[in-house]
Amino acid sequence: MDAVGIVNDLELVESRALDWIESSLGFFDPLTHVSPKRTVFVMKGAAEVALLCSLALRDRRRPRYAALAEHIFGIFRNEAVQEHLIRNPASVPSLGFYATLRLCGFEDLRYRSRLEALLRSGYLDATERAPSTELDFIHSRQQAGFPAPDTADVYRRTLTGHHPPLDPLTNDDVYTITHTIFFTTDFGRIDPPFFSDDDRRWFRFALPRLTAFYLRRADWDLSAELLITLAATGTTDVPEFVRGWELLLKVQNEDGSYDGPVDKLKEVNAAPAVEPEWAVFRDNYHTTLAVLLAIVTSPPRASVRR
Amino acid sequence: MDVALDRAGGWLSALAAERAEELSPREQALLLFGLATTERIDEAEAIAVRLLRGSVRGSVDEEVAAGRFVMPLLAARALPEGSRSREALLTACAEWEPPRSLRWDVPLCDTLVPYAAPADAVREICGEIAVASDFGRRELALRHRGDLERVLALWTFCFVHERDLEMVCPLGRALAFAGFSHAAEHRDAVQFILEQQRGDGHFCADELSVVAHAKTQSGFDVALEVYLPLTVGAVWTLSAS
Repeated sequence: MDAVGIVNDLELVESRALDWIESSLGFFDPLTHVSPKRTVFVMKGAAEVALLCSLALRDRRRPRYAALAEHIFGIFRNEAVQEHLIRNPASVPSLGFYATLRLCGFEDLRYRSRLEALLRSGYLDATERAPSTELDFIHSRQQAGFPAPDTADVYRRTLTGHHPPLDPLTNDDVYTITHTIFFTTDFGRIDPPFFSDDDRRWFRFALPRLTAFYLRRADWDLSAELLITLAATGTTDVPEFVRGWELLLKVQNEDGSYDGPVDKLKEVNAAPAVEPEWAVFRDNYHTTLAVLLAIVTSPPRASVRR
Repeated sequence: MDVALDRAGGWLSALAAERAEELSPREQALLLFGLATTERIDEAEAIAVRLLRGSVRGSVDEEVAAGRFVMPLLAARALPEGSRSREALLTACAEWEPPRSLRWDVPLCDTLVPYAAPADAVREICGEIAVASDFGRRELALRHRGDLERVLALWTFCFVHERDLEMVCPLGRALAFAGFSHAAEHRDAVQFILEQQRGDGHFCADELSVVAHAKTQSGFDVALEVYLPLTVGAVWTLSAS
């Protein structure tokens, strides 16, 4: 399939994935769950939907994402949810959730003032974080319109900034690499001036190889995230970009979702049995969102070189 | 590398001394090739005699029919001129003529093969390269050289990252046989293989899983079913590099 064919199929794949997300909206509401673990799990999921919407809506009007954001804002506005967010900023995305909804055009001044108080207390600045998580925090501060420190120094301390050899990298390491690139480039919107020639050489060396590796592993979650990093770093002239998209479009489930990583599923299968609908949601929601995130931020262009 | 080959030869010699009586023709062929490659000539001769006495014809035919590598032929080539078994093995294998065409000499990078081909297909492509190059003795005439090099290098990276010795060995050889020894991934493959050698000379990756598997399977012979093919595969790749 050539790039034109891929671009043509993209809209249908996006629409089906959105169908699945919309039909799963009930699961994203923390108040519909009894288990505290599920409550926290879906709160993160709801924040991830808000992130997707903020990126989809930043360049153009997309009614389905706007409606999705409005639904998620309804969840966010619940006092019990906000109470949990404010009291557990180290374990749930208290700042990022608010920031992305704000970008979608929703404001909650009462929550914002509570966040301001939390920031003023110094707790959020003092909390210990890995450098890649620190970049997430800084990015959220920027998105929320709060003063934020420069990212250059933090970037240099990340795993990505050290240009690691690829052989020892674990899945978690690769997630920190993708997230570092997400937050330093604002999901491909900016080309950070602190990216050196060595950084760019490493991106061109490492990112296509990692993309190929995770495509071969049928790990659509990291494959989708790596496709975003290829686009965000201008590395779209490699075969992995177009072929990665081609493969990703072929493996969508009939219901519009994407299967989560196999390793994680194995772990889950060892756990006690749960309702089948919840199991599908739990396993597939993140990967489906990751593919949608790739579609809205890093779609292949019909003119992309093969 | 020579030290690694010598240590592997020591392990193969010990295996030949302890278990020659119980080996199948295929295991004998593997051991023969491993011993010849690591220059354990006397032990190789003994195994060759045993093999020639038995079912070498069937073994060679089976190997060719299955598209696998022809251990007796390669062992004969590895034995020194004038050795007792060399001519007999070469005669036994004389009818085999390696095909020259390569089905995979196509624009691979324009397909999903690099990203979707299962391990069996990768192994098949490596086998085809080995055979078409007469195991590195003749240059491949390739129309899509760049694509093949890129894809072999990519797969080598992937299987090194998976720590899959069984796949890295044929990929390392395919890179060498196709004339891509200059690729960084070939160097990585050799380094990875060297790191998988154990103290007694045998090769194995992820040995904890192998040992655990052996515990759950009664009659599972780790030395013959895992260490022997991996060790011979490793010494073959190292010596081809």
